Amino acid sequence: MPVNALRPLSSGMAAIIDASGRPPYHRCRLAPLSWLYRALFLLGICAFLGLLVAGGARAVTEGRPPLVAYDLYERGNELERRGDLAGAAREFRAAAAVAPTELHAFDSLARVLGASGDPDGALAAHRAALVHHPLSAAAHRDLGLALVARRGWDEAHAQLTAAVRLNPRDVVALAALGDVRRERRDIAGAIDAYGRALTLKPADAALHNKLGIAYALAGQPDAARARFEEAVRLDPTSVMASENLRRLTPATP
Amino acid sequence: MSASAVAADALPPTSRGVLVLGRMFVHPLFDYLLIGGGLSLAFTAVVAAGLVRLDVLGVALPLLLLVCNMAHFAASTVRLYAKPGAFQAHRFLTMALPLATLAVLALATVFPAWLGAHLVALYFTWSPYHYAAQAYGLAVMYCYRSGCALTDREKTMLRLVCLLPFVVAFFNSTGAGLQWFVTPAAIVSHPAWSVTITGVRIVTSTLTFLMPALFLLSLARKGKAMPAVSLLIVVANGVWWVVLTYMDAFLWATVFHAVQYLAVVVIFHVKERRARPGDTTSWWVHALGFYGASLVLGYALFQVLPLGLRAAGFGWAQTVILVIATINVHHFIVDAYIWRLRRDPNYQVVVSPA
Repeated sequence: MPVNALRPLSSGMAAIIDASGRPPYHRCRLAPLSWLYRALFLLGICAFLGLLVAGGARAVTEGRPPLVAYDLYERGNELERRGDLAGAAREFRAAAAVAPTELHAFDSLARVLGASGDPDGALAAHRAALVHHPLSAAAHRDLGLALVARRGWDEAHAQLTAAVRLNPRDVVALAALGDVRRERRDIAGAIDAYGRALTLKPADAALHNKLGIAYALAGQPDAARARFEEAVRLDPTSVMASENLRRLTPATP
Repeated sequence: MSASAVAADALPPTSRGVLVLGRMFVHPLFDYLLIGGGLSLAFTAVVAAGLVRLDVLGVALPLLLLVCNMAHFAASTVRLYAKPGAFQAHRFLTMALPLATLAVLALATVFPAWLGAHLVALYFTWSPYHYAAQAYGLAVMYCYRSGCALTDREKTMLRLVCLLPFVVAFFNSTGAGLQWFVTPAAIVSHPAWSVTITGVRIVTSTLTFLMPALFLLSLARKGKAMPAVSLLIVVANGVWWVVLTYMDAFLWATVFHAVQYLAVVVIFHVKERRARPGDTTSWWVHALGFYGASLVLGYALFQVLPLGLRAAGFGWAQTVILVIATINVHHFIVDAYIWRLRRDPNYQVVVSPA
């Protein structure tokens, strides 16, 4: 077979058979394509090296240690600290978009939006978190707390009840649930919630004060007084507990 | 790593019984502990018992991830370009895929919700499949190497057995697998779905450990003895995804998988290099060179590349997540091609002596 002779293949495509007897290499058809491949390869290498150089320069200017664990929220937290809440919200929003498994991204986004005067946005972030984390007690609790701030008592009650069902040891959720029940005039329910919170955190003066108020509303002044006294004992600087205790004590004639 | 089918009748069965030690690549201790995943089983027990907590690992964790995970992802790329004739055999893979990968990364970073979220979900969903494919590939490789010739039907059976942990992970993933297509809230709001998913998970988890034993027995009935290391590889992958919680599995399975992968890829590289005419370089020089290149590339890809994208004006959080996802997907694609045995130099390594 002469070197570089053309021989038709079964597919009809012309191929060049070289002297080495290697398998037919479709040089005729693929030659332009290999230039394209080479161009793509060079472009890819250049882009990659360019990014590496930029990244290396960034590492040097930022004084980053040579090996770091990834902190996804590093940039967002930094922007938040510097007061760039819009920038921080962008960071957290993107993190939540690409990794909805990260509950912290939604929390951070809601916090930043709330701080920047966008309560609707914060509420939306909490709701989005719940879509991806329906069994997270913290997600229910945070949405419940956001709703408490908006005075959406019924939905807040549902969310906080779910939070407590999922995590019966969440003192913050129990206390908020007590507040919501008190607002809804469910005083017995409020006493129950505060009481459960106190079993978990018995030295919390604010909780004793809340329970005292609930007892007072339920018409149990002695029980209320005991709670206020305990609150004052635990935190002598508690103005509210002292004031409640004073109000409860009958004025001497 | 996924090995494609090898010729079933290449080597005759050499022994009878249920299990044999098998023909090792290096030494039984090395092959069983690192490639087989024996070490990982011991470690899994420690993690499952709650004796290893991420917060107490401190700086050791990023270091571990660098020397194992990052180096392993880069190793497939190093292997691709170090493989003789790779540019001719895999033109798209070697020359066009790098740019295509960077383009996808850039697009995903620009459109985090529209594209980035799906890229991340793809990565989380594909990972357990990739591990299952590697378990299958290695198990077949050891079978073949040890003279346990599998028919096409047996290979299909083994592949299905290896895929069971992937099914477990598919139904157990957070934000991926089934949850890529159906939101967790939708699943929770339909109690029947939740019950079905839990049932599927329990059944597949049980089958993950039951089926390898049945497969082994079915081979034994035909007078074939499977190398124990093949069984260990399959079982270890099952243990990672069934015993550990999903996120623990995701972290530690990646480490174990990386160790397994690095051991195999270095063996292949060294054997190929040493088989070249006139090569007098010591094996450890080849091994160290390959691992060193993988380590450097891994560092560049995972530690420096995200900073480059950040310098280009992209946000940090999505950059980090998307770089990890993109490199993983690139690794999965490359692996699907570079570990083929049929009509490939890999074949010579598989049948070569220890």
